[in-house]
Amino acid sequence: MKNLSLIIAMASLVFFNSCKYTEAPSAGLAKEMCSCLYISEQTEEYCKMVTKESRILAKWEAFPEEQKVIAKGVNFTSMAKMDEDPRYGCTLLSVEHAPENAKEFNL
Amino acid sequence: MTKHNIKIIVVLFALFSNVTAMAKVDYWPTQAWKTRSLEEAGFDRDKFQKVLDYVWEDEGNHKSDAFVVIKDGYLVYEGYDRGYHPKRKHMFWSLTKSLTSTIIGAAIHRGHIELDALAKDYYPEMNREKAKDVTLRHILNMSAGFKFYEENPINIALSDSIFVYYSKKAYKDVAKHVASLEMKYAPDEQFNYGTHQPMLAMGMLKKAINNPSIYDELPWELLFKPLGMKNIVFERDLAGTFLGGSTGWGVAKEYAKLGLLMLEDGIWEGKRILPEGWVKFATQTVAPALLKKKSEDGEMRLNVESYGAYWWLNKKLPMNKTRPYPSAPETLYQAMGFRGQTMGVLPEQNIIIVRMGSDGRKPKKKLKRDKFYKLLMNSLKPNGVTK
Repeated sequence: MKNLSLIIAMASLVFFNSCKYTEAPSAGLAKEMCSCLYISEQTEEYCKMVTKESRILAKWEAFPEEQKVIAKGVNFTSMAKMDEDPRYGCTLLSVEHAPENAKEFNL
Repeated sequence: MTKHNIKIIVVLFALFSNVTAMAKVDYWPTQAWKTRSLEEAGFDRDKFQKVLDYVWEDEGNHKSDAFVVIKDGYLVYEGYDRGYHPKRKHMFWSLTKSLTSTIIGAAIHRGHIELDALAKDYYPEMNREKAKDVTLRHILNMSAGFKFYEENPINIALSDSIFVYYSKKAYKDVAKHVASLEMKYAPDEQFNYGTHQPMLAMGMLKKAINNPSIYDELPWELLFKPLGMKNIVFERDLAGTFLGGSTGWGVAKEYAKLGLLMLEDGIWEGKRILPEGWVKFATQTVAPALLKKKSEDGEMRLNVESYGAYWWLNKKLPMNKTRPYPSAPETLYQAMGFRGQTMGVLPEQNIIIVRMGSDGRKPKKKLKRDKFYKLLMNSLKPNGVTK
């Protein structure tokens, strides 16, 4: 079992390194989750369903009072926030390099 | 009566008859759609039930969230699931592209930009080999020539449609990033559907207007307010450029108004919103690049594709055996997006359908549009074709 975990972790590492932009999962998840929660005002359950692909590679936390979402991917942390004018929805405000996130993904 | 007065009367008559002759509705649904029963609209109720059975068939298959049918300008059916209702906004995904096309058309009509405007005049990054001759027209025809893989066939995570907005070097100013992408072809040489091109189109419009306060309001002033689309959200990047490729949000009944505007040849409440000839350009004229090359020449081409200017067409191309949706009329045009978002406009039947969904990526998890159109066409009584 331990060996299997190691193989999966190694495969993930190879996969991430093969990606041109490893920031995409956290950036995509922050933005898509922000929009789903605060534009569509959908349930967390539904929003998780439609962000399934991004959530494999990133984790998220919502801040309802500020209408913002922060997502952490393997090497990046991203934030998206609702605009003051709700007609413009959520904007991806930051995509920051965060190598320490790798620990959270057991890599 | 003087000759001058007669001329004025003739011109006014010509203008009036031009507008009324094309009108396919007897009222304008700016405030709300009026309703009609299925029978009044010319549908066979039992056969229409088969359409609904398929659209709302759920377990393990596709997932419909909203479904609206408009016939002759009247709402004949609306239904919702998964927490959606007439006012809960749904992501448009690539339905946004058709919205962008229409906004660009309206902006051209108002003189904000020209169809043959050169991209390099707004983005100096484009002043290079192959890119320097790219115009807004090429960009609207998905034929600018960028090296771009909308959907990587091996792994979705490697798709350029994700990186075009979610990469560190792109997200602050997406259109500028697109303008710097590698070129693979000269304009009009190769059709290559991608989210990058509408992003650049909205960037060009912003630069052409060169006034943030006007640009920020433009989609509402040109389109959403006149049509009564009150629930639209149009997201932007950090540079304040509308993300014209996929990040529009709204409700099905309001999106259907875009279909009616197209059916009405760009006229709404008697006022021209889109330039004369725009609807023909966008929804009836196949992008020239599609006719130049055989499909096997393209790396990312679909087997059967038929495209105008951010609208999917249903015309058979010379290299294909059939049109994309054989069960639907050749005159069908559609706005289509990820997870099964669809607006179908059937001019001969005077029907607009909007289906929003949360379909999965595997084929068996997707609504099969040809099956849907077959059921829809079957549900029309013989006299249901009104125009």
